[in-house]
Amino acid sequence: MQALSTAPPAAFLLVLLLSALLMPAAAAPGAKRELNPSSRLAAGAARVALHYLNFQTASPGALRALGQIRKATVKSIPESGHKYYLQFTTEDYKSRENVGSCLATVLYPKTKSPPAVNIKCTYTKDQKQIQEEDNGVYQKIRHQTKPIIGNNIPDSYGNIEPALEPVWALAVAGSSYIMWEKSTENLGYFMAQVKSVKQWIRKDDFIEFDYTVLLHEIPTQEIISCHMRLTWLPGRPLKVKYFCASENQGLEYGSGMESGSAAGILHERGANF
Amino acid sequence: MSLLEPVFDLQPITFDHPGDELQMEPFAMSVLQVWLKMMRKETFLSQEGYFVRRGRLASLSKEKSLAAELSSSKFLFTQGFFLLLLYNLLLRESCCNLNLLEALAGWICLNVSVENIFLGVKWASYLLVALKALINAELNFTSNMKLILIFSALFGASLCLETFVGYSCRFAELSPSFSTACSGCQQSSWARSFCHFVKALGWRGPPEVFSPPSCSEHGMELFPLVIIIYPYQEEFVIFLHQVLRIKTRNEEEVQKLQLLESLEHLELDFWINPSTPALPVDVRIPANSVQAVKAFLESHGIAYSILIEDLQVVLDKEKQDMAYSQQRDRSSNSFNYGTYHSLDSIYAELDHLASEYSNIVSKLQIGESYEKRPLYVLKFSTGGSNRPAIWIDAGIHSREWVTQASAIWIAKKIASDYGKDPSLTSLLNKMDVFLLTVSNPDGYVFTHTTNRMWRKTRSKNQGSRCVGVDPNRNWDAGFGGPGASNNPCSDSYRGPSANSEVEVKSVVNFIKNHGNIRAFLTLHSYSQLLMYPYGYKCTEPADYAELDALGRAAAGSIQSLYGTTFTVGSICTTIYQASGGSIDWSYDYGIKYSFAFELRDTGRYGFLLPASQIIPTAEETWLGLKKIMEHVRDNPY
Repeated sequence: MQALSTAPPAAFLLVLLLSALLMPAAAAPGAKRELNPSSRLAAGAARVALHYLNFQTASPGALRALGQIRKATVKSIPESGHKYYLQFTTEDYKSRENVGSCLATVLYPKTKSPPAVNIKCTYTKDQKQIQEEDNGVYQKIRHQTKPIIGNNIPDSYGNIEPALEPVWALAVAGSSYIMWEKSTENLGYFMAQVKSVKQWIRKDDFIEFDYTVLLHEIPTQEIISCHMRLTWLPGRPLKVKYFCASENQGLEYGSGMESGSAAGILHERGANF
Repeated sequence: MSLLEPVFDLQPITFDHPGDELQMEPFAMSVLQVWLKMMRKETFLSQEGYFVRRGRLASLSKEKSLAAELSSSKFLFTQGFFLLLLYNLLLRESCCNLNLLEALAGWICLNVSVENIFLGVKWASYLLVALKALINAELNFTSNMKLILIFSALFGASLCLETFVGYSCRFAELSPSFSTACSGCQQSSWARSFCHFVKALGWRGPPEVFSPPSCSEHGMELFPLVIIIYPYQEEFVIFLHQVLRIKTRNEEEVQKLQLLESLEHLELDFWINPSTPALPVDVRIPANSVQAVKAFLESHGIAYSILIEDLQVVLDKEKQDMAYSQQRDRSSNSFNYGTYHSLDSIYAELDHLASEYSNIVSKLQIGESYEKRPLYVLKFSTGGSNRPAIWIDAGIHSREWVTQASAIWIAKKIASDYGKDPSLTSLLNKMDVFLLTVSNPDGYVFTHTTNRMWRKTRSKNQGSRCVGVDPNRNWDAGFGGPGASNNPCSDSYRGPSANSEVEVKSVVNFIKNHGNIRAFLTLHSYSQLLMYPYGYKCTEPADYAELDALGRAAAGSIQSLYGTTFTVGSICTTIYQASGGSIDWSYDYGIKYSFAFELRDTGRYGFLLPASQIIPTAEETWLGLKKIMEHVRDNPY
């Protein structure tokens, strides 16, 4: 009796497994154009997606950098812009070890608005551990008696004082917002340096920093100086206000989460460096 | 034995391939061992029972009871194991993370075998695995897994059906022994022929001594193996982490390798990507893909050889040499190659190298900068007159500090390795090397004193308050084209005319006067790229295939040291369209082997690369340069 009752499930299972193995992968044809994974357009789009992700994640311990691009296709959407479909691996921003791969779409609109990013990633690091790290950082900063100030992070020799490392990481997360907003299909950004940072002590739970960051713009090779106000609470979205002045071209009004302040215009001239 | 306690003192199980060792969690291992022992014993006993059945009825009952005991305990044990497996699967998926289909499958199985809860659990676990594999888009079976699955599925099916057939036959015929069951099977000819097929497989038939075996006991005995292996397939650790050199003979083989490249789950690391049958393909294979890849290559008749020994020797030698030279450094002078230096400090070290290695190193001045600083080139030569030469320059963009730092390390390397490294020695015996460590000394000083992010020269621009010209937009190659600005305040300002910058003009003059430069290699940072022309236009150079292949070979050498990956391509496709670049000029001038390197990193520190990365960067860059230089030496034109 046992044999009879168990034979059907067995046969079913066998059919399932055999069909799974013998099923060929179906190739999906589409109107997309495949890009060489080493092309600059693919790399640029992947970086934009990561800027967006780093900003959204709002966690200095979970920052990601681009690893390898596995696959990239682009589709031209009429009346809309160019849409990139990407598959790439990511590395931890500090340790350079692989932390998972991502699937992302990046749509560069024809209008002057930030790229529309959709990104999903796997994560090999332990989420709880990251949260604990962030909380630890948060507590340490909260319990400062004097406001944190700093200059040139990293310094000319690439050194970052260990105590200021989380401040730098927050700057990366905040600048990611700026870089994402400013990126276009042909303009990309990296955060080159934190020129100065000053903490504003708040009465509520949030941590607030005032940054001057230098962004490296490619392909123009310009160094853009941006003033950034950032507020952070672990687990909450980052709040970033900014405006950027180009070193060589005087004041350039960059948009922020709120408009730049009317009171006083920061004007850093190249010669003053 | 407590089910949840790992048993640490068992030996790992060895399979058929000597050298392969199955690494598993100790608990699963111990369970598997006990299960296998019981299987073996049971099979033995079943044979015994079969023979015993022939005659001696006296001992039959004893055997029967013992075997029956064993059988039932084994049965129970198997069921218990599957419970655990299910538990394990659930836990692995971060508990109870079953989707609707899987939950449904589990519920159905439990109900189907309502009289035997263990069976239900077992079927639930089978279906769960199968469903998970199907639903999961990334069906991640290694080829070993596939083989095991197919084999066990077929075997299980045959045994299962055999039991079913035999059972039904036996019932129909009331025949006690299997040997007559087939011929006596009146049901259908397919049942009969299947019966014979199974007999041919060597199956002696279900022993009569026990209760008629269920499908799950015999027919599916191999499925437990499959289910056990599935979660652990990544842990088939074969300790040979290999680098293979694959020699392709034709386009077809190249395409097969490209197919292999696309199989991401193998995690292959191509140092030289398959592109043309002319170049060998070097690939690093992680431990658990080695068997699969080798099987693939062998099945397609593709020849390969193991490279790792060679590399290991190279790496060891490199490390040895570094340690040796560092030791010598510490004793002879105090120049620390692992930090960033001022211009004066670098110039002092140039003098020191020229004097310490005066048999092969000499210092030349090829011109002066805008602010009248000397432009010094180190010449590495073992004699001859106007031998074919290789040109290397660094620091044309002053903020790219790792390039000047790497260049001085490379200078030291070339000088000290002559006479020790056979490849370099043979190269210097045939060719000269010219190394311009600081191409833009004015800018370099400015980055130390005033603005760390300064890129251009320091020449004054007429009619503008802005200073400096981008020296890598100032060469006479597509000058004035896209990718360079005509705004003096821009960091990519091309200058008023080609070669307007004295730093550029000096190099152009030197190369033209020399007349026998065979390679032009320039160092920049950052982005980790290895590029060949063109930048001013997006069309391929005539020597595209050779340059691309050589670039990939060099990138492979770079990667071999610390795993740093460099992207290879033309300037236009890889970084951006840029006119007036140095390697475009040198290529169009007739220097075929023109390459531009963008060294570490990929954007984290960018220009502000920590000093601790100088020597690793220099070491790996040197391997790439050497690869190209060897090719130049071996391919005179």
